[in-house]
Amino acid sequence: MRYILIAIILMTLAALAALTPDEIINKIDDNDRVESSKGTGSQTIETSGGEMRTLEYEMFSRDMNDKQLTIYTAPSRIAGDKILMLNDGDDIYFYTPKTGRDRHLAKHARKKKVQGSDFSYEDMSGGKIADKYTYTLQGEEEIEGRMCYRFEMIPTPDGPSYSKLILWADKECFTALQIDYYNEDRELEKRLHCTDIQNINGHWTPMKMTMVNIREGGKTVMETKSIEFGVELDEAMFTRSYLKRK
Amino acid sequence: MRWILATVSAFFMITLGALDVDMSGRYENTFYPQMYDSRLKMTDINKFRLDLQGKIDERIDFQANYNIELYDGKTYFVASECIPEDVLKEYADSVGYPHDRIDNLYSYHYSNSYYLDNANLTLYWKDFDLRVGKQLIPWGTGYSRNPTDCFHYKNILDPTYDKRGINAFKLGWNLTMSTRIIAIMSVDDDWETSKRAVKFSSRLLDYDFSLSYVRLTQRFFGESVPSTQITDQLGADISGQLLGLGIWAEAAWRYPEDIDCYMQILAGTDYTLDNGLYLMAEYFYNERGEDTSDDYTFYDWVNLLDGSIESLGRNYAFTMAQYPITELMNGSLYVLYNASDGSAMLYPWVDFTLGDNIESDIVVYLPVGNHNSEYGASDIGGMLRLKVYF
Repeated sequence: MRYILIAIILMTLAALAALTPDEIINKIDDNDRVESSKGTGSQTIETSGGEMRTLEYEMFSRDMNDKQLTIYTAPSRIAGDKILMLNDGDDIYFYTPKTGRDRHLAKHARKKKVQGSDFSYEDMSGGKIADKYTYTLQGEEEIEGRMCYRFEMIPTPDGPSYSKLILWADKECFTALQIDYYNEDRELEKRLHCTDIQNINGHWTPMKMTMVNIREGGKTVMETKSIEFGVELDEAMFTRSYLKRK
Repeated sequence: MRWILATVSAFFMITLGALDVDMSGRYENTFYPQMYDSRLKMTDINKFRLDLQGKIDERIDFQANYNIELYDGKTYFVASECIPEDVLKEYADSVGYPHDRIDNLYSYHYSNSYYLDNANLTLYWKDFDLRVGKQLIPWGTGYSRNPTDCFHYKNILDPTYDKRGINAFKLGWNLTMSTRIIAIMSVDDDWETSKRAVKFSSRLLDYDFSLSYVRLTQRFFGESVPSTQITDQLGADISGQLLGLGIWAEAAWRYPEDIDCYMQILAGTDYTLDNGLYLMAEYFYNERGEDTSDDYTFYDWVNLLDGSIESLGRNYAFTMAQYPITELMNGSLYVLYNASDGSAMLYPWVDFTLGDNIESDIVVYLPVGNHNSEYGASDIGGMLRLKVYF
């Protein structure tokens, strides 16, 4: 009888200690969303035909990723192209110095590939998971030797264009290790692998993200070369008029 | 002499280095084959562009590009190669000009050019900025045409290609993060003929919009109107989305001093299907255009070729379908339809990147319509362009 009582108490304590799905998602958001950031990176695109293209960029964000700015620096063909995302990615502007114009991308254009890569505009936009998806915790699974929470996430009507995402988040770091993207025909379209996770100023940050295009073939490797969090960035950087600055 | 040159070059390079100047540019070759009178004619353009840009400090930056354009092949075009013969004969009869010399009524010549472009200096203060020099002022939300943009010429068959900057002073005032006023003066011979413009742009209910006023000088070739008109232009544009579609519109009302006022309106929409197919459509109305090809005059054609007017007809549709054939190649089909004379230009276009810094475009121009119509007057042609960036 005493053992049963101890077992019940231990199980109750364990249940109390376990995080709820909302708490896990909040922790993932808290890890991902930073007050401000500044960094550089590269995107290496490997096409389904085996050709390689490498793009380099600078990236800036502020207000918990609500505002994001990407400036391409190489190759010369696209140097100076800029992508400004506001309101957690609800408003996206693309600017190219070739025409001197910025274009507001309508919602349908957010599923387009960014500079021919396997990342779409909506893949790169910020925002809280809870604002863009409804989610269900489906259990725990091991990914790359790490125990992960497995979530099924269904986009809200105003959310991304996928039919669903399956997210595996590290149980200790609360950062995504793998995400499967399903298209509107409910087929697995892309898989994102996040590796080389480093703790930078208290935020677990994947320094390498590989998006594998399951349906079309090819992949894009996005590597962070430098990153700083909590930097001071002028709000004016995140405006349309700033896009036209050198 | 060699020492002086070396010293000057070294000083130039050190100065550029000290100023944190980026140097880039491109070389391109554009080949235009075109049928004229059952004969294949060819024009080839070699262009070299060197871009410099840099920051003097956080509040001052500058940029400039120097361009060399060399033309080969067919570079001289006579009247019968650009304007329908019926129109030329009718005009020749009206002025008593001999038919065997109608080719002399109009001509144009592409000549090699060397020019400094987009050379400007920008100064930034907290809420203001001032840009001085040759610069792009790309107004309007339209893709194929921009009724509100009276600063640049846009080739509707190649609308995203480089445009020449204009010499101007542009003062911008950021009232809020999304609201801005700009004032522009583009320098001409005197104050009266210089372009002066004010534009207010902002955001309301998820729509970006702008209102503008321009005083400009329009130049027309014609016998019944003066060749120069001081014109007031009121403009407005808007862009956003509705029911999941991207939408935009642009309108300009022009009030020339001696001829009737007229308006131009453009409205467009676009959508991307799940398979990546991008669709776009634009409608353009030009009140100054003619209702049928019978009404097109010799002067209408000359004004069109000169870029003084935007179109011959009154109603136009422009559609585009673009599909990513591979990650590095897009196939597009453009259709430009003149609903006033029933003519159209179909132009399938393939663009692809051959390397990190190499782009290529292949286009075929397929005109449809009778010989006196805007697009039917030309013959089948094409364009092959190769660009190498550095």
